[in-house]
Amino acid sequence: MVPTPVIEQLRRIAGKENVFTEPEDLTCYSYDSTHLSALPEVVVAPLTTAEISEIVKLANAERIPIIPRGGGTCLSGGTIPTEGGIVLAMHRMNRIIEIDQDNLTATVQPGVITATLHQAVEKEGLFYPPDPQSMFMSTIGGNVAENAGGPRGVKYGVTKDYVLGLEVVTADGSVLRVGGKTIKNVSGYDLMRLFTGSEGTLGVITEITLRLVPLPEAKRTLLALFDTLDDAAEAVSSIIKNRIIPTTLEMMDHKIMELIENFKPVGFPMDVEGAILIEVDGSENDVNTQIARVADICTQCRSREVKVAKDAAEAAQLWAGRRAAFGALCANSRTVFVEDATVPRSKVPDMVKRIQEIAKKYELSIPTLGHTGDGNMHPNILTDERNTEEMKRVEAAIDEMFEAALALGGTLSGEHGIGLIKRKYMPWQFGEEGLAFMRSIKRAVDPNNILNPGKMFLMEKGEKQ
Amino acid sequence: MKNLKEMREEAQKCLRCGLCQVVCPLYNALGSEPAVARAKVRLARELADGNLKVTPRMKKIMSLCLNCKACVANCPSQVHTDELVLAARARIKDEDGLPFMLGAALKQFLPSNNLQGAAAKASYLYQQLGLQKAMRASGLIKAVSPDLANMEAVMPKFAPRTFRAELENMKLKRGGKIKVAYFLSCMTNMVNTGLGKAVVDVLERHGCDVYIPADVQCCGTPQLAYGDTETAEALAKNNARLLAETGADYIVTDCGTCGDMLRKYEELVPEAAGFSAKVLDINEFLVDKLGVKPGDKPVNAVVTYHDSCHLNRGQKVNRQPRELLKAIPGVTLKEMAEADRCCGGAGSFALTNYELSMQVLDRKINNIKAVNPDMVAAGCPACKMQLEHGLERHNMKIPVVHPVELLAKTY
Ligand SMILES: Cc1cc2nc3c(=O)[nH]c(=O)nc-3n(C[C@H](O)[C@H](O)[C@H](O)COP(=O)(O)OP(=O)(O)OC[C@H]3O[C@@H](n4cnc5c(N)ncnc54)[C@H](O)[C@@H]3O)c2cc1C
Ligand code: SF4
Ligand code: SF4
Repeated sequence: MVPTPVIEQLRRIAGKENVFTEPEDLTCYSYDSTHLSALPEVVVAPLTTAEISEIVKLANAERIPIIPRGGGTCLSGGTIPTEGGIVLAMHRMNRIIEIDQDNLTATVQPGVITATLHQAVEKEGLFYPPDPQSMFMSTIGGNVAENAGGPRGVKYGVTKDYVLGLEVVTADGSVLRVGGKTIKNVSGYDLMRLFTGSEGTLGVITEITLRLVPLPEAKRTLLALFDTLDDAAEAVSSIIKNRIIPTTLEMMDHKIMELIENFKPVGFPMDVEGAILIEVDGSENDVNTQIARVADICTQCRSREVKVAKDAAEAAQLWAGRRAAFGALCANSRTVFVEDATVPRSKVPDMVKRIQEIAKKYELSIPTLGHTGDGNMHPNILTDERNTEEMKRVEAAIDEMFEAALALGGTLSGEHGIGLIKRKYMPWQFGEEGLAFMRSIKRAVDPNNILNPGKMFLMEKGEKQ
Repeated sequence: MKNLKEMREEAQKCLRCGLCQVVCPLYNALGSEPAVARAKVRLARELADGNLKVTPRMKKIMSLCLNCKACVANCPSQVHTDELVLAARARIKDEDGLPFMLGAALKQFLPSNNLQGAAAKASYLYQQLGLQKAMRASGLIKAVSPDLANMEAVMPKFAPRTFRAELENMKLKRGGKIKVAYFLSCMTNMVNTGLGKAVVDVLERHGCDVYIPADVQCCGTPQLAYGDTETAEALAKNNARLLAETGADYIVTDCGTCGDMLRKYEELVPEAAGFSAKVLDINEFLVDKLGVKPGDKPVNAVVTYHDSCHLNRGQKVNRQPRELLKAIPGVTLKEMAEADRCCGGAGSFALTNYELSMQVLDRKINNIKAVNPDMVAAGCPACKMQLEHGLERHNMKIPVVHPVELLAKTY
């Protein structure tokens, strides 16, 4: 229980109109994009780093959990206040502080919506490449905390490749600045990398400096259809082998195309087994040569049809199917588990096969999409959370999928994070030694375990969770 | 209409994906979770399950909805947040009743054609006698009640005589090929009487016999918006009967909101079975059924078109008004960004949540500003009122017209 005097203090710090304790407000901050939920005890919407510092200091003294929350689109339960406490709603800290044209950087507050930053920098002819598909809802703070990535990851990498500097409020309320505007920086431990992807467990991120790149002059899109998924997978490896790094390289299986076609007809033939959607960017000349070579490679890999978009409108048409995928999945099922097991690129065909076997074994429908270019697969398990018998099979299938990904040299999560959902698999990937190391970091910087407790891994038995 | 308990399944469909955040104008303005559809859906579910109760905070959050349906159109699971919010409001009203003034407005004033007539006259005089200017200048209203001042500021310009009064001397043509019943909206009656005349003129020039049942009442939208299902159903029954009794082939509206409501009568009351299929928006009727035949007089103007939520997402009419505008000689249609984004009017929302409504409106006005038009066209008088207020706030002297009013100018 958060004692009344503490609530009074929070009101003094953040202003009473920014502190919420009514059950209706608590309910609104009890969930994220997973099926989990738990009520916080109070929600605070701070405006400044100084306020956050005071709030964290207070929480630390009172041993009250603090859960930072951006857009609440987490797919691993990272914002669920399983142990009550204070949810820090970051939406008021939504200023783009600076776009530095000389150093090609942007400095923003954590509550800035990712797509808002995209639009702002693109207006200046600059480019912030990370494009989580939730970019119109997610915040930069949430992206950094989850180290989010997107389709453009193939060529441009993920959020961590763009974080140059951070301001972080740590568990005792001190304000730490790490990194800066320099591209090179080897002074001391790389704390930036430590905070990036830390899911709110090591500090509250209050300001972020990001690296920008010049906006590419042109881009082109191609869709290739294949009679077998193997051919599609071969085309993918062949493109990479030929040293072409497209901006995005997405693969769709038969099932997902069928769902999309039924949901929003875009003209996918119903008898193809696989499709790849590719975008390249660069200078005008560059993209034309690249796309021609990609088309050749697809044809060599027995693609039955290669469609190259002539202009932006045609490109949008080719993308329309892929964009409708999420809606198509939702329209077809009560509950959708979007998994994100990731394997080395060369193992994509193996992983695709394993997913198909697992779907068969557990009698589940698992249409699969993939940011295949970077080995990040999205097997989507279609189910109904009310069907307890099926949910058991779903759980077993997920277990087996992660086992398969790890066996292929992959990882539990390519982009959605560990949070609560994948916590139990952490020992599989890291072993007890790895976990012990992480726990000692957590213990050292947050001895009272107030920062998003219970996320990523549990502390040892007998320790405060 | 389904009650909250019956809508529980609808709420359960929400996947919490958050895609509604992208389009919800109130969430865009406030940024806090309670404003977004996802939250209202969750609260409606908890209210249905008895885990949450009707409290002032619940009322406040449920009042934070423009019923613009942008979330519904963008939702992968097609969750009808708009209907869930209405069902929650109906539950709130059942438990708590309506505040006295509001109850009087919904139950007596709006449904009564006599009272409306008297009020319109009083308001007209208030504006014409310079009282409005004097009152505004004195700051008296603001001192008494900022809410009242806001209401007064958004107040439209009332017509000297209501359309209903003018109707008595109006000669409607007979002998045409198509029988059309025209639904007289409150706004056309009290404020935009010119629009009513334009509609009649245009329809007659297209070979229609126009029937205007003078006894139709308010369409029922405000009542439904505040959870007064009973009054809304009574109005639906009466209006559907009066319009059906004309024996017309089509029922035509010039108000996006009224039209959306008329199309719902069937769901609302069993007596209206078969009624909704006959309802058409005037833009839709002219473009799809009759074919637009404009006159020769050009209207030389750059026009930008604002999609009313209830016309666009409610009635799926968005292509027709644009085609109609393009058919008018001299008109250049120039699209604004986010043409289909709510203007923030949403009936009385602008009165009850003035500041927030203005935030939503400012974005719309900035989009209009960017195309620098001579006129704004909109298919809903409620939007017109809100847009006019916004343009005035930004010192822009641009008229807001209904597409049919422009068409009427060509003859
Ligand atoms: C439809 C959909 C598509 C998605 N697609 C992708 C995708 O393509 N790629 C991808 O990577 N992810 C994707 N996601 C997952 C999710 O959007 C990302 O993880 C995103 O980064 C979360 O951002 P958010 O602002 O919503 O953060 P939240 O959900 O609010 O928070 C996520 C985590 O970050 C922590 N956090 C938030 N803000 C701060 C802060 N200021 N300081 C410290 N910790 C903080 C929270 O405590 C929590 O642990 C998708 C989600 C959805 C619903
Ligand atoms: S878009 Fe629909 S399913 Fe997604 S959170 Fe909003 S209401 Fe729920
Ligand atoms: S109807 Fe409009 S205002 Fe209401 S929740 Fe949906 S998008 Fe928001």
